[in-house]
Amino acid sequence: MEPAPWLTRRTGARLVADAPKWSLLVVDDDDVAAEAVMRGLRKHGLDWPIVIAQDGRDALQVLRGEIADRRIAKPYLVLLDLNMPRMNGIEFLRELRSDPALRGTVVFVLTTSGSEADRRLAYSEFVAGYMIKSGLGPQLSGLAKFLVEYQTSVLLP
Amino acid sequence: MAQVVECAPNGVAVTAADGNIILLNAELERMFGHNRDELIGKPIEQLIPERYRAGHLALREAATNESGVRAMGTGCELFGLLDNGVEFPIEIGINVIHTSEGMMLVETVIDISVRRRLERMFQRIVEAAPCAMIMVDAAGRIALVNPQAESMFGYARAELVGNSLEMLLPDRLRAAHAAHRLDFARNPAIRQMGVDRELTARRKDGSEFPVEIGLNPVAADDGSLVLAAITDITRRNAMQLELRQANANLEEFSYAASHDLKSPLRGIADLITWITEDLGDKAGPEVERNLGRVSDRIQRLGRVIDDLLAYAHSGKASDDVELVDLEQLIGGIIEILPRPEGFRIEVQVEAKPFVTPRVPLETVLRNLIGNAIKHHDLAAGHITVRARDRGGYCEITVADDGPGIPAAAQERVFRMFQTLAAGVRDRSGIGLALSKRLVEAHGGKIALESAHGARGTTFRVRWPRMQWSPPRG
Repeated sequence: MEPAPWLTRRTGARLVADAPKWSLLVVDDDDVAAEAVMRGLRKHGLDWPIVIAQDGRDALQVLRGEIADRRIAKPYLVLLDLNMPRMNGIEFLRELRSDPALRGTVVFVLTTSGSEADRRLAYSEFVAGYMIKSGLGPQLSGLAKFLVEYQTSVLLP
Repeated sequence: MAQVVECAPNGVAVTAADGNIILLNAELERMFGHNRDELIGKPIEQLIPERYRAGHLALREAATNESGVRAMGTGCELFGLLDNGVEFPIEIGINVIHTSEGMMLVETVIDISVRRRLERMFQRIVEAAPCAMIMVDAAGRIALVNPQAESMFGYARAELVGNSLEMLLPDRLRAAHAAHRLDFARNPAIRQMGVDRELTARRKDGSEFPVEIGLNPVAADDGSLVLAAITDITRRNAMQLELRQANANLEEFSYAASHDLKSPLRGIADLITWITEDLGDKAGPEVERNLGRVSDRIQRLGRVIDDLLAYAHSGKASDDVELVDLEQLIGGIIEILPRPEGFRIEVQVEAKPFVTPRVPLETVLRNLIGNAIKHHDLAAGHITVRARDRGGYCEITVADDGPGIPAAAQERVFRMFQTLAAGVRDRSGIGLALSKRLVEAHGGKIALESAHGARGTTFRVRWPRMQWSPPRG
């Protein structure tokens, strides 16, 4: 597939597409939703490695390197759903922020819920942004575009 | 002395030791409707009804016998007697003075009809009050109760009056209450009791119930009294609890609807997209058509969920108010509302701008005007939107010349998911139900008029012009 036109656009000295790849941890209990994120990003030419976790607890294990076949390399971003069984998004964030090794993790909430309460809770746990899926365009095109733009100007821990 | 007597503000009569009047003032003349000459030399007992005369005589003698001691204001309430036999309540005081002409009695008379009338009025107000009322004296003893207090606490009047107010409280609260009562006595003011805490009262049978109490200090001759108005709030508390629970349920429902219904639906939509992509050209017209039909239904279901959420939220009145100019508001709605070529919308706004939550009012009017266009059966239509001030309300009518609504269906259109026209599929049929809920949540009313067998429907909205504060749960 041809890369999207905005992906080959020149920003400063180098092509965006040449930038080192980041990794993504997608935390969502719905496998279709997780796959939709993956497909959406791939479709728009973003080929970063993607790791999927089913809920907060699973995600913590991945981040702590406790799962052999799902390891994630730095630098990485977390795309977090909120409503999940076992450990939901907010509980995951609290656990994350109290872990000295992980507290600086950059997390974006990616959810279907526009609830004000959720947003308030998420930001009080220092998420980098709160995105509602329905606001990201067809097949999450807005997400791919955002992540590429984000990478051009932001350095991750 | 005659001069002193004359200018006293009360009725004054001076009698000799034998009780015959020597001197009296103009006020006394006025009070009893007699001329001075008719009274001088007559016994003072002539001025009171027969039945009080012996008593008065005794009183006079008692005053005389306390020689040396000036019997200041020996208060005694009785009735005065007019010439025509009519009696009126008076209060008298008897003082003994010694003059060069011997001992005399000065009787001061006050007409207390007005005071009595006020007392009776007060009594009647207390008796008729919708809440229980209890008057308490400075020592915390019950001085007066009304029938509502008797039935609220299960005591008869006689069991209450004269006893300590604390008998109406649970044992464990009595000591603290007595302290509060003393605090209040030091700093009396009209106020609500225990604003920040639950107040509990106790019936004769020992059962307890929550109350709300308003306190009114009443200055009286015999020290300061407090009138307490007591309302049993058992039912109100139960209703508040119910309301809180209903709101919590609604909140939970909204959350579930926004996430648990929307996410799987989104998943289904994604899956359909992927299937369509994977099939590519291999799908064939029949499969393609059916995939399209699935997508349509997914979209419709998505809108139903959004509408349901909007409906769930519409039961809460918005307090985000601003100055609303209906001319502008309606103009703005019409400008962005899609409508066929042949539709004419006439707007007549005679209502003055007012402060109100704009968003819900706009939603209601957009729904009504949108419906008038959407449900019109002809290519050309005429819609009139009028707004007028009607007392505390702003009355807005949206009248169309569409097919009209059959009488049998008029009640149904305000319910959820009721769409009359079979072909209209682009909304979930929640618009009118939502409008009704929004209007009512903000203290207004909505009704429709559609004459039987005739064309045209008019929706009439009465929206409060005043800021309306809904009961808070």
